[in-house]
Parts: sequence; structure tokens; C-alpha cells
Amino acid sequence: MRTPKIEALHRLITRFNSKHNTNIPLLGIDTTPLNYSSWLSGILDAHGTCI
Amino acid sequence: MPIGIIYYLRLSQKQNYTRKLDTSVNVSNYSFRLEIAASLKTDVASRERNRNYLIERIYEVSEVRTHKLESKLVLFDYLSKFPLFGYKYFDQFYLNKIHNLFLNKEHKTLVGKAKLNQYTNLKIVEVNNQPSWDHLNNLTKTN
Repeated sequence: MRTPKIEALHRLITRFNSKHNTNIPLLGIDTTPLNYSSWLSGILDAHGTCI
Repeated sequence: MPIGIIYYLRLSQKQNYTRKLDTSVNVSNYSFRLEIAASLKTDVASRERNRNYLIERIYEVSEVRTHKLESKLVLFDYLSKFPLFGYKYFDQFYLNKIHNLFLNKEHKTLVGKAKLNQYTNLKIVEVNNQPSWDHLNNLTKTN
């Protein structure tokens, strides 16, 4: 993830790890260049507007 | 006869990420907005947004707009590699056609003006008339 919403993902993983006795790591913010993946397309699909 | 056309893609979102259940969570979205803006060779602007159906009716949003030609070139190059998949795919498809009209200066001709109207209308018609979702076949081809 690249946004502050990673906080919600971390909460989910922490809860999941606790409940199911797993050890899924809490990864940090993704800092790879934007043009290397479809992440920006995803956010444009969700929040973009063509005018 | 149009001599200039305005078209751009706008990305708009609340300025902060917050949680209603935990008011201590209040993190600015600015850094990744800045990253997107830098990638699209543009900048981040702020404005007030008014939504009647929300409890918090007026709130600040930060926006990234591809209003410069340089930004549009970067954006359409990116979208050619990683296209949109929702309804906005059709917006992107026809906006790209409008962009090409502009690049070829066709929008200054009568034929170009007719195409401009056609693309603008198709953008709306396509979405309202059970569009073909064939582009979803490419979903597995992107990262």
C-alpha cells in the first residue's frame, strides 16, 4: 500500500495474526516508482474524473 | 469553431485519512498526492467541496489535475500500459481520442469539431447503453 490507509490494513493483519495464531508481517509503505505498476490506475478508477 | 479545448483528468480526495471510531487517527494524504503529482508532472491543489448528502457537508479536498500538455502525455502513456477497468475506461478511451485530435490540431477543423462532438457524446452513450466490457479480458495482462 502507498497511502495512510495502511493503518487499517495493519490493524486487520494484527487482529488476524492474533486470532489465527499466524505471523503475517506488517510491511511498510510501497515506495516503488508509480509508473512500474497499475496502482495509479486503480486509484484513478476509484477517485478520478475525466473532464 | 473551437480554437482551444479543455480536457483533463482530475484526481480528488479528502485531505486527511481519519477514523470516526478513533479520532487519534488523522493522517494527511498529502505525501502520496505529491508523489502522484510529481509523477504526472503537475502539482497538488486544494479546494473546498460541498456534499449535501454527507454529515460532514463541506470539507477540504486535495486535487491533482493533468491540465498541462506534459501531464497529459505522461498520463496517456501510463494508461496505455495500465488501462482503467471500470466505467471510467470509456472516459479514458474517448478522452484519449480527444487528446489525439488536439495533438494533431484536428480540433481546429470542421471535421475535427464533428469528431470532438462525437467522442464527447459517445463517452456518455456508451456508459448508458450496456457497454461492451471486452477490455476486461486484458485484466490479467497487467501487473
